Amino acid sequence: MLENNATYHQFFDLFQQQDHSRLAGFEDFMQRQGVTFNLYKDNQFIEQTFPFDAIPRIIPADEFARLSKGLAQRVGALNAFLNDIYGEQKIIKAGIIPPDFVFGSKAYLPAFHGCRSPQDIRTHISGLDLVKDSATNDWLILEDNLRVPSGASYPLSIRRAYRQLFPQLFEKMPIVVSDNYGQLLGSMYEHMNPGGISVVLSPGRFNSAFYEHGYLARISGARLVTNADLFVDNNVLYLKSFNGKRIRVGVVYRRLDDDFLDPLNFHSDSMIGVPNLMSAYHAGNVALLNAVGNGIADDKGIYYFVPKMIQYYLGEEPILSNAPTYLPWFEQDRKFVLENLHKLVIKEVAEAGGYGVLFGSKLTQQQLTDLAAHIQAEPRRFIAQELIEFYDIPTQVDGQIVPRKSDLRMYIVHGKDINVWAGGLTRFAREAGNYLVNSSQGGGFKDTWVMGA
Amino acid sequence: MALSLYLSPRMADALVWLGRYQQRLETMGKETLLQFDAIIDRVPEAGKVLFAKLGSQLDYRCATEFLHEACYGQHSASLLSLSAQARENAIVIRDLLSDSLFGSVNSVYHALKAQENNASLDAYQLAQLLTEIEYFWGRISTRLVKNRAAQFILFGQSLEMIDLKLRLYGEVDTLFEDAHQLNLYGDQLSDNWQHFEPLNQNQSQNMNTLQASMNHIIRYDR
Repeated sequence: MLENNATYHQFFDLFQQQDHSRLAGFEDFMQRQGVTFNLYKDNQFIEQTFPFDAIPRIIPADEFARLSKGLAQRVGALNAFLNDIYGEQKIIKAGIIPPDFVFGSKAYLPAFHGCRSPQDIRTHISGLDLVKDSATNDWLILEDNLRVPSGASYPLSIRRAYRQLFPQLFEKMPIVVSDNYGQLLGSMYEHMNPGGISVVLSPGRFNSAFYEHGYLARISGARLVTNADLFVDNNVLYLKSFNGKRIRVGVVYRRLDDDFLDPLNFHSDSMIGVPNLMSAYHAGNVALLNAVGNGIADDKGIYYFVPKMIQYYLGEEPILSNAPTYLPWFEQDRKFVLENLHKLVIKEVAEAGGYGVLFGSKLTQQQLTDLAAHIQAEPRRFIAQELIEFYDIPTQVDGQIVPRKSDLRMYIVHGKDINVWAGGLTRFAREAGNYLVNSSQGGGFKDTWVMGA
Repeated sequence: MALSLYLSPRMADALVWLGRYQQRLETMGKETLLQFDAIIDRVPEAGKVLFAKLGSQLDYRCATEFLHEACYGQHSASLLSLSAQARENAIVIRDLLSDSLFGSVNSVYHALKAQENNASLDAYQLAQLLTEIEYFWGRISTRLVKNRAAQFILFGQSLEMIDLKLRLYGEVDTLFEDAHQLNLYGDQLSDNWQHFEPLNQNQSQNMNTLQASMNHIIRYDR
């Protein structure tokens, strides 16, 4: 079903009056500025532009106000959960989360138990994925990304082109300016900084999101570095300077996973990490954004418990709901899942990026039987969700405006305060009827326009 | 201290090489157009002589084939190869460049790349691309505040100018102004800069001094 609100009407009224030959300017802009993501296909390194659709997702002011409160609440609870789980583990002792879901997860890092994050903040930059349910007209959280959520640079980059190519839309519609994302990051760095400069640590030029790393460094006032630029001496992290001097680094917005951060603490064969970075971290001499060990909070199995976390840690009712989810690990849920496998969506908890997602309705009888056997053998490995008929939003395909499934990733920056950025990455499936919108599954992106009051 | 002063050896190196490759691309592009004309005017070896000075052996039968070889031949001095090298250096220090500077480097590469399999790239199109490269230098020089990153790029440009003059033309007596400029940037970037004095050395010594000069500016060891 197509999402339809008054703001879309206003947009289309104005959009129809525009010179559509200028739409080609978006492609020119992205190519000239190298707005790309990188991938390897058949052992070939390919730089690819992210398919873009000019029709934005539009979020009315009242919806954003509610989303903003709900997302800040959720991130606050997830942060409390992380502090607790690497600390007293009260939520386990209270019987709210079964210990298996924490200690059985690869994302839980027992070596970091007892390690406090500066200012008790661990969820510095979160990317929460949402869809809008067409049955209830309400937003649902699909996924929490608390490790290295990516994608903010694409709507930020394209917004600048959009304002240049179609200024009338921005003059006539009350679109909230979104270019403060760099300031939100910069203020958060400042709040976290124990002393020194801020850097964005990238795996390097061939990483899929390298464009984004450079972009975010530039807008947030950080320096883009790779591990070759950094070293640790006496538990302090430094940037090597071209003149032989050393410059202290206080904040590392790392764009690599925990496993690769420090070859002396994690994967010893990591070629992209900084030896002894963890010793600087443990000594409190550097802030790592996001904190090490956050993966436990965005484990798909833990997702089920987030509403309970909100009640437990904050004493509040969740403002935003999860998609209805079942955990086969619980006997009652397992029975339901096995009986209704043909109409549920099954996800492997260890997978991401749209991989490991099975739609029961599309499986053969044999495949359903096999899947049921897997679930019975390893119930912790799966979650099941009801298929959400989330809204399509209007999308241009071959000059026609057609409905396409779309989700929304919103970014939350947690420093002194928890700030929800008034923008976001809207991803859409390029084929009709496809529910997978991930870029790794061929999806495209749109800008997200939050309307002012 | 301004953030622009915080540069690692890797970043400084990429900035210098960006300046060098941009300058080499511009010079070789202009020389390619000159030799293209010379071949038309019955000096068939002109293109071979030019590229041989940079160690590339070209094989062509006419001006159009020369143009294609100069742009896309399988040799390190082809314009596409030089442009790709400039772009790679620009990509790794993307955060240090303005959109217009990066866009200028990137668009030249894409324009060349788009014609790679098309033998019809003509001298007019190449001349247009050279204009874009000239804009690159203009964009640096028109910045109100020349930051340290810009100084490294301009240092690379000066270095490459001298290198090319020595390689392509063997001119020492015209290098005074270029050496002055190089020494100016060298003094700005390092307390240890040793002034380059081309008139005091022979060509081979000049080349050696030039190649070693980056080590006075960038300390690659920790």
